[in-house]
Amino acid sequence: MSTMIRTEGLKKIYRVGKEKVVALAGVDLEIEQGEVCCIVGQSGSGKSTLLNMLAGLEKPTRGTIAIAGKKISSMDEERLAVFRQENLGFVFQSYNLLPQLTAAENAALPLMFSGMGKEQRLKRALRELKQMGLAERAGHRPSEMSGGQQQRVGIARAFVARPKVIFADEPTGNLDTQTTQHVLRAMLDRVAKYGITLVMVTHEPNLAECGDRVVTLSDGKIIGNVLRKNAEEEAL
Amino acid sequence: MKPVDLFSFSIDNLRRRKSRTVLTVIGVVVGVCAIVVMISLGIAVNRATDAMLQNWGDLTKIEVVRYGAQQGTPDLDDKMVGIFQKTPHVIASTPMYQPNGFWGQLVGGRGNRYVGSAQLVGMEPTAIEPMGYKLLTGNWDVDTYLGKGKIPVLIGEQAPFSFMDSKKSASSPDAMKYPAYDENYTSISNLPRYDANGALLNPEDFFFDVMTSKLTYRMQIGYDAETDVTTYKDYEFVPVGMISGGMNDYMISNGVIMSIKNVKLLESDYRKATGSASGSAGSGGIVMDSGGGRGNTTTVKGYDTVYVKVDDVKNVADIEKSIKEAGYQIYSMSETRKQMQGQVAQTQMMLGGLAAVSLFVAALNIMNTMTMAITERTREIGVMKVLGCRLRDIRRMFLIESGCIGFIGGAVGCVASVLLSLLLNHLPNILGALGIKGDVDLASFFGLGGMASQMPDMKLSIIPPWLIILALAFATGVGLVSGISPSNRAVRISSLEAIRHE
Repeated sequence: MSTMIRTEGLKKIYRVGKEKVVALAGVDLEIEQGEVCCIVGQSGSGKSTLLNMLAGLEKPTRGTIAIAGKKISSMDEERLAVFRQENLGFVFQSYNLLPQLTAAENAALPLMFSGMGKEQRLKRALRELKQMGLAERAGHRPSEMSGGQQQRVGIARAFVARPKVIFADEPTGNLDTQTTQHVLRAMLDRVAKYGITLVMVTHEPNLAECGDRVVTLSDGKIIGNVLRKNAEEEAL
Repeated sequence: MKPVDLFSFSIDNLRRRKSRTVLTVIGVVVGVCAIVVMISLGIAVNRATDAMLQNWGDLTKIEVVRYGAQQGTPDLDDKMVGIFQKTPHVIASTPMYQPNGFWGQLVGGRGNRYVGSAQLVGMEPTAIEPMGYKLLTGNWDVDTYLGKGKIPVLIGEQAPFSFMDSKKSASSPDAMKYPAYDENYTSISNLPRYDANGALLNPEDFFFDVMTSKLTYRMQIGYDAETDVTTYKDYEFVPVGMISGGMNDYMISNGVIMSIKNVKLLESDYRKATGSASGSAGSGGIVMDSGGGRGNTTTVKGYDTVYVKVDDVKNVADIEKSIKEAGYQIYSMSETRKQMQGQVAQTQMMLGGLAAVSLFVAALNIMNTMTMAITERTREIGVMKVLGCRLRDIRRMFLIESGCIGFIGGAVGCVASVLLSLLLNHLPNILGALGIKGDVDLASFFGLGGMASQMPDMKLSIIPPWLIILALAFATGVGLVSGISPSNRAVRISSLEAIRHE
């Protein structure tokens, strides 16, 4: 197994007026390829900041981030966009589907951004939706779907381009317990199937149990980094 | 992203905010309409001016005279005609010389019964066709040698009407087909008529067919008062063609045109026959032989007038300038045209300026709409960025959107302008149908008063295809430019801020 994500001395300091707020105070982290890594911590612990920086949405104040051997912390926005197209997938807490597009079109968005033709990308999106059990909903718009269905479209969208890493920020935060189980299972199955690295932020400890690695943050520092390599096998 | 995806994305977004899009488009429509209609009014007035001047004379013809020229100005002779001819953009240069030193008459028809008084005109043979006359029958070639005493001529289309029946009393109304005077010698306006296209009405209505009968020119070379016997020298005039100078070139339409060389031949024959130099040295004729004559020191050498034909109206001004610099005086329609157009352009600029203001307001409107759209879609833009949409695609997406507003506004504006233009052109009819009397005199609005009365079927507004294309391009351009700043704003939106935005 090779290292997929590596950070060194990652720091993030926000300026609020004259005061400096330290969001991350030096994080060194390594995540292997195919690993499911859960980042947990209290609200304000810096877990969302860490995820955003790993995904290249935010620039670190200091330190470096490398994904698949590419140093993303020094890429400009244009190159980052292309890097995201090719390597990263996202699942959001509030789904963030585009309201004017159908489920299939939403799921196909990353492929559209990378310039794939309409017929081909919709075919792939449909295949993805079918695997999420949403084949019959492909032509519906987000406003016609339940939260759980919308999130499954979101997951289909994250997987459609077969990225190397998928980032998920509280993916089940807006869902009820039963739907949470359903959505989570779908995501984990597909990550395992394609050998994709998953980095998931959650504040629910029992959700974190499903990760191979659980990283606990507090006040911008890692206070726990537990490898639970056999968690999946134990559960089975 | 593929262009087709960019377009469908942008158009989808416009469709989502229908009422706002429509309102913004209306702004553009009003602006485009104002500008197009303003320009179309100006075009119409300019066209009418041109048509009017065209009626007065050829815009590309310059009349050059030496009269009143300063000392040292070169003679307006054959050499000068040749120099004009060689000037770039000049397609023809010729004198139109009417010999007046000798006298003769044309006779023809059965037993030479009909006697004509058409004026001879000498021209440069190669210059006749380029001067823009219309050849009705035959060919242009007045330069061939047909034998001794035979002269090829072009007959002006009205010249056949100049024949009188010598068997009838000169005062009889039947003596001429279109007499200028009645039996009491009062002038009557009974000239041959032209139709609206400038074609001669009833062209067959003359005594005999000049083109096919034998035509003789009888030059009077002597008169014995005691015996009352006039001696003539006869030439056979062989018509090679019939030409029309239109309604305005009286000299051509009524003349008998021949090569200048043959006019000179007639003059020299006359001199030889009479032993005088009066054939040429008189009032403004050509001096064929400066050594001859009676030593008249005030003789003007060369021609009174030379005509220069230019290839295009736009080159006329330059040629005019260089001819003036040589010391000659000129008359042309272009001068007049320039002044008239200047006046129209001024008014047009003023109205165009007002129209431009309304388009500027429309541009601000587009900018505002786009800024609002981007603010509303902050979150969407953020999500797209996170999912790997490139910055240039986001910029293009919004530029296409604003460009589309401009384009649609331009297209609808053009349609509206065409309708408006139709309405304007039929305004008198419409007003008439409503029972309102009144003339719409656009020309006087543009400072060219009284033109409407001369041009009864003048159009108020003309929209040529290029104006439509220009308006579309311009409106689209305005849309695109208005979209630049909002789309830059969209590009700068932080994806992180956008997705946080709950």
